[in-house]
Amino acid sequence: MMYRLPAAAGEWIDRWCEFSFEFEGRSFKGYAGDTITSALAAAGEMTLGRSFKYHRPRGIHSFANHDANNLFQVVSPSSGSVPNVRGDVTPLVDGMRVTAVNTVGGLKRDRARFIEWLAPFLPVGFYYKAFHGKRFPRWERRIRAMSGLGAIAANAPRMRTPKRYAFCDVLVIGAGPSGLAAALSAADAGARVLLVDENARAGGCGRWSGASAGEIESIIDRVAATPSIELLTSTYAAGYYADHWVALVEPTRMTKVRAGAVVFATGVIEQPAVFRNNDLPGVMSGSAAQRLLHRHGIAPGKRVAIITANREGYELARVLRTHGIPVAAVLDLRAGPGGDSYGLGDLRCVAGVIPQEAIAGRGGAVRALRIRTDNDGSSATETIACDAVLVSVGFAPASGLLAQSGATWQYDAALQQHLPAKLPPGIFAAGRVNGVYDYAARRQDGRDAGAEAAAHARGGHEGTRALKPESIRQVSHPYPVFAHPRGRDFVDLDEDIQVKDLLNSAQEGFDSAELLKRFSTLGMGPSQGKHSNLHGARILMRARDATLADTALTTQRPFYHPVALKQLAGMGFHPERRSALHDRHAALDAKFMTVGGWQRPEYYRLAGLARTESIFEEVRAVREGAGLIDVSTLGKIEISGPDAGAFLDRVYAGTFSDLRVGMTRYGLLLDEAGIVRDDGVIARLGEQRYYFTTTTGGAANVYRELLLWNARWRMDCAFVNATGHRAAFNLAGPASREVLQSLTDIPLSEEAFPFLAVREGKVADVPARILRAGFVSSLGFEIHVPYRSAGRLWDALMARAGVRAFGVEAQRVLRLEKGHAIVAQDTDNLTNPFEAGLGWAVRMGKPFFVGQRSLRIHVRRGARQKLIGFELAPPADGAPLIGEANLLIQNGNIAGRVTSIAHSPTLGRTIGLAMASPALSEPGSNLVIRASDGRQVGARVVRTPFVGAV
Amino acid sequence: MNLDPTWLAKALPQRRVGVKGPRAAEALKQLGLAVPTRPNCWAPMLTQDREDSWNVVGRLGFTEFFVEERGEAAGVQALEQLTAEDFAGAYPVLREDVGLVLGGDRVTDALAQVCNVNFNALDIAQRPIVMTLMVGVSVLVLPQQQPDGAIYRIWCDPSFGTYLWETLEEVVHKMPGRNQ
Repeated sequence: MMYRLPAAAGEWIDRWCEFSFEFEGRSFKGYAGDTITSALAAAGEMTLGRSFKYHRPRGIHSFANHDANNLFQVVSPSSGSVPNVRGDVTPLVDGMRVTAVNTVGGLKRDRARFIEWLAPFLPVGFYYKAFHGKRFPRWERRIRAMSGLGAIAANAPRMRTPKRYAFCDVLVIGAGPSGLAAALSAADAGARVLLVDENARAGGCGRWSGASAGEIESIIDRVAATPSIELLTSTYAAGYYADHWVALVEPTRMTKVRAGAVVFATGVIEQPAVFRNNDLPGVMSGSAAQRLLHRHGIAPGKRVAIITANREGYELARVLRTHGIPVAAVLDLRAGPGGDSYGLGDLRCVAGVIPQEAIAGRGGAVRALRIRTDNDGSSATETIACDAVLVSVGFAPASGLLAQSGATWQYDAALQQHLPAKLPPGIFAAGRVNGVYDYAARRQDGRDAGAEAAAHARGGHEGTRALKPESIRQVSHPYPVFAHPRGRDFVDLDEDIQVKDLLNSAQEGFDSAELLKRFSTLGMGPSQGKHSNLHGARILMRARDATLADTALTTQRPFYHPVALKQLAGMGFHPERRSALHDRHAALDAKFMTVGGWQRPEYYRLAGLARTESIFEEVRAVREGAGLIDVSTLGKIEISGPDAGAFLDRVYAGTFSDLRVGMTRYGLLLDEAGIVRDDGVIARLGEQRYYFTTTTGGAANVYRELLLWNARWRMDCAFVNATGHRAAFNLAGPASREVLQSLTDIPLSEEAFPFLAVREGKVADVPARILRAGFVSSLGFEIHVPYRSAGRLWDALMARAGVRAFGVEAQRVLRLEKGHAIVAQDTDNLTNPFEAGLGWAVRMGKPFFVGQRSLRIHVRRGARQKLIGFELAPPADGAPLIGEANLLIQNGNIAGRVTSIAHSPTLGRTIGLAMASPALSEPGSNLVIRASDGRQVGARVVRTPFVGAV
Repeated sequence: MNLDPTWLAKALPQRRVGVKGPRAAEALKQLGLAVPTRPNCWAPMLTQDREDSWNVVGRLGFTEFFVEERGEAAGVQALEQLTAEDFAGAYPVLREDVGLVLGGDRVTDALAQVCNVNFNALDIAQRPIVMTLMVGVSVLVLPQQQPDGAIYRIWCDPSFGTYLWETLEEVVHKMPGRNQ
C-alpha cells in the first residue's frame, strides 16, 4: 500500500480490518471501507483498465462512479462471475478476484492494443460508412466480439433481489452540505424525509469544501438523531418518473419511492481538461484526488501537478501540502489566480498556462506534463516531471435526474454553467447544481429548498425558487479544450472520442447536439456523457461560431447510472392460477401446462404409454364412454338486472333478450372493427339473470370490456366475475348422461334436458349449474359449482365406473374432430365471424351491437379468407410433419395457413383447420401445405365436423 | 404470541358472501346487518349485541358489499337467502376467497415489498378496506388493530391462493430478524 497515507480523522476505512484480494492474478491488500478502485490506488496500481475502442491504458479519472474505464469483472463465491462491476463504489470484499474488462490476454499485455495503430483508418462514424450492405452481419459479429466491456457468465446464479415501495413527504437526493441542510430543514417543518446518497457515507464534498473540522460529522449526527429522516447511503436515484416517483437502487434492493416533493442536491461533476494524452493513468480530476485523500487516506501521486482555473485547484494544493504530498506546480489556465493562491507561500503557481501534452512513462502512466505559457506577449514551453496531473478547471451540474423531472435549463455565461431555468411543481434544486458553490451559501440554499419542499408536500407552496445571484461565483473555465495537431486529446473517455472526431462530425453536417451525439457516439458510453457532453457542446458551438446559450442539451433519460438486471427483475413475481382440483390432477400424474396463466393438465400420464398414446386413450374414453375434464379456467361472468338481456344484445353479436329461461345460446364477442375477440355460452337463469362463459385467456379482458361499455351506456345491470370462485367440469361422452343421472335428481333425459338447456340443482349434494354442451362430443354436460365444493363433486364423478379424466390435448383433438374453432387459435386479429364460419351466430338485423357497422363493410367487401377443414393424404414413410402455422401454397404463392392440426384416433387420419383463400374453400379442393422442413404435402378440403354424432 | 417481526397465517375457514347492485345496502339494512357508510371501509357485525371485528361487512365502492362471518354465520345465510329470492336491485356474489393474515411489528415493511399502497398512511381507526394488486393478484386488504398490534386480513380469488401464499411466505421468510 505504497500510496496509503497515515490515518486521519473522518476517513472511511478501518485499518484494523485488512482484506486480501486478487487483481489480474496478483495479490493485493486493502482495508474494509475501501472500494476496489481505492484499494488498487493505494497499492500504486495506476492502470486499471483499457479503453473501449483503442484499448489505451486507463486509470482513475473521477473516482465518482462515472468512470467507464474502472469497470471490472469480479468473481465471488456467492454471486459467481459478475461483469462491469463499478470499482469506484463497489466495496472491497476479502477474497475477491478482480480482472480488468475489455482486454485480450490481460491488462498489461492486452493484445488488442494494436487497434490504436489502426486509428487513422477508424475515423468517426466509420462503421456507418464501411459496414453496410450484405456484409453488415459479418462485420457486426466481429465488432461485437472485439468491443464491449465485461463478459456475461451464462452460468451465473439467478439473484432474487427484492423491490419495495416507499413513501415520504420530501425526498432529498444527495447528502452533501446542501442536501443535509435540506433534509434537516424539511424535517424541522414536520415533513417525513428520505435522504439518499450514492456514496457509502453522507457528507459529500463538505469535508474538503469549506466545512470546519468535524462540522459535517456533527450535521450527520443530527440527521441520524432526527426520527423523521431516513438516510440511505450507497443508494442512487436511478430515474425520475411522473408524479415524483423515483427509483432508488440500493446494493441489494430497489425502492420505488413516491414523494410529495423532491429536492435535488445532486451537486456537480468535475469536467476534464482536453489536451493531448489527457487520458493517461495518473491524470485525474481534482475532486478524485480529494476523495482518495479524505475518504481512503490515499495520495494521488508522489509528485503532482495541478491544472486549474478556479479556487478549488488552489484548495487542493493546500490539502496536498498538508498531507506532505509534493506539489510540483499549480498551473492556472487563467491570466492570473486573483486571490485564490493566497497563503500558498513558496508553492510555484504559473498563470496563463496552455497544457500541451501529458507524457507517458514505461508503464503507460503519466511521468511528466508539457505546458506552454503565454504571458506578456512571450511564449515558453516547459516539461514538469510528475506522476499525477490533477485537473480542476470546471464543473457541469449533475443534471440528469433533474432534467428527467421536466426541469428546463439555461446557460449562465457569468458562471459558465447550465442552471435550472424552470422547475416543475414540487421539484427543488439546491447547492452546486443550482450554481451555489460557497459552503455557507450552499447550506442556506439547502435549508431554503428543504423548507419550501416541506411546504409543497403539505400543499402550501406552488412557486419555484429564484436563484440568489450574490452566491454565485465563476468556477468553470469557458473552454478548457486544447486540441493537439497529433490528436489523442480525448473528449469522451468512454468512447475514445477526440476533438477532431467532433469537428469532423460537425463538418459532415451533424451539427446539432443530438445529431453529433448519434453520429460520433459522444455521451453514449456507460457514463452517458457526464464528462463529455459539456465539452462536446462547447467544441460544436465554437465550430459553428455560436455559444452554448444557442444550443439545447441532449435529452436525459433513466437510468442515471447503469442498473443491474437482477435489480430490475426483482423477485420476479409471476401470478399463477390453480384450479380447485390441482392436487387431484397431480395425484393422477398430470403433466401440467400453462394456459392463460392457469396450470392445466396437458394430459395424464399412463404407465407404459407415451404422451401421444396417453392422449389417444383419453380421446377414446370420451368417444366410447365418459370423460371428465376440468374447465374451471373458463371465464365465468354473471349479469343481473332489468337491462341484462338488452345489454348482452348490444355487446354480443347474437340476440339474448329473447332467450328462454333455462336455455343457453352460443355468444360471439366482436370488437368495434368486427373482429372476433371471444366466445362462450350464455345461459339465462332467470328473467333478469344471465350466466356466461368466456375463453380461458379472455376472461379478465371480457369482464373489463363489459364494465367499460356499461360505463358508457349506463344500463341497469350489475356484473360479477365469478371465474375463480366457480369450478367447472365437462362430463362428455355417450355414457355421460347415465353417469351424471346417478348423482342428481335433475331429470337429464333428452326431453327434460335438451341440447343447450341449463338447469340449477344439486349434484352429489353440491349446488350446481349444469349446461348441456357439445364442444367435444354430441352428448356432454358442463357442471359449474362453487370452488370449495369442486373436489367433492370431482371425486364423486371419478368414482363412477368408466369415467376417465382427460386433459387439454385430448380436448383439442376432440373439438377438432367436431370441427369447432378456438378463438385466437383458429382466428387472429383480422378474422371476422363470416370468415371463421361463425356467421350463423351473428344477427345483423339487430338495431345495434359492437362491431356491427364494421361487419357491414366486411360483408360488402366479401371474405378475404375462410376457415376450412382438411385432411392429409395418407402419409408415406418419412413424410414431413405438418404443424400449426405451416403455409398453404397455391401457384407458388401463400394462400393461407394451418391453424389446427392433429391426428384423430377416432378417424385414423390427420385432420386440421386452415384459414385459406376463398378459392380453396370448396370441399374436395386439393391443398399444398409447406412443412417446416420445406417439403410440400398434399391435403384435401373436407366438410366439418369431421366426426358425426359421437 | 408470535415473536417474529413479520408473520403470515392462513385465515380460519369462515363463511362469506357478497351482494352487489343499486339496492345492495338496502338488503343489508333489511337484515339488520351493519352498513359501512363510506366506500372502501368496513364495519363490524354485531354478535350478541357486541361488535365482533372478526365478522365484518366491507363496502367495496358504492354498490358492492362483502360479508364474512364465523360460526353459524346467520347473517351470511340470511343474505344468501334474501338475494337468492330475487331481491330486485341486490344480486348475490359468490365469494370463495382465500383468506390470509399478515402481522408483526414489521408487517408494513413486508407489505411494501408486495404492494404499492402506503399502508403506513392508513388510519386504521377509520376502518379502511383497500382493493389493490399484491404481487400481481387482485386482493382485498382489511387492516385491523388487535391487542398485539396491527394485522392485515387479505382475501383473493381462490385460484391465486397458492401462489399468493407461497410468494408472501417467501417475502416474510426473507424479512430481517425473522426466526428461521
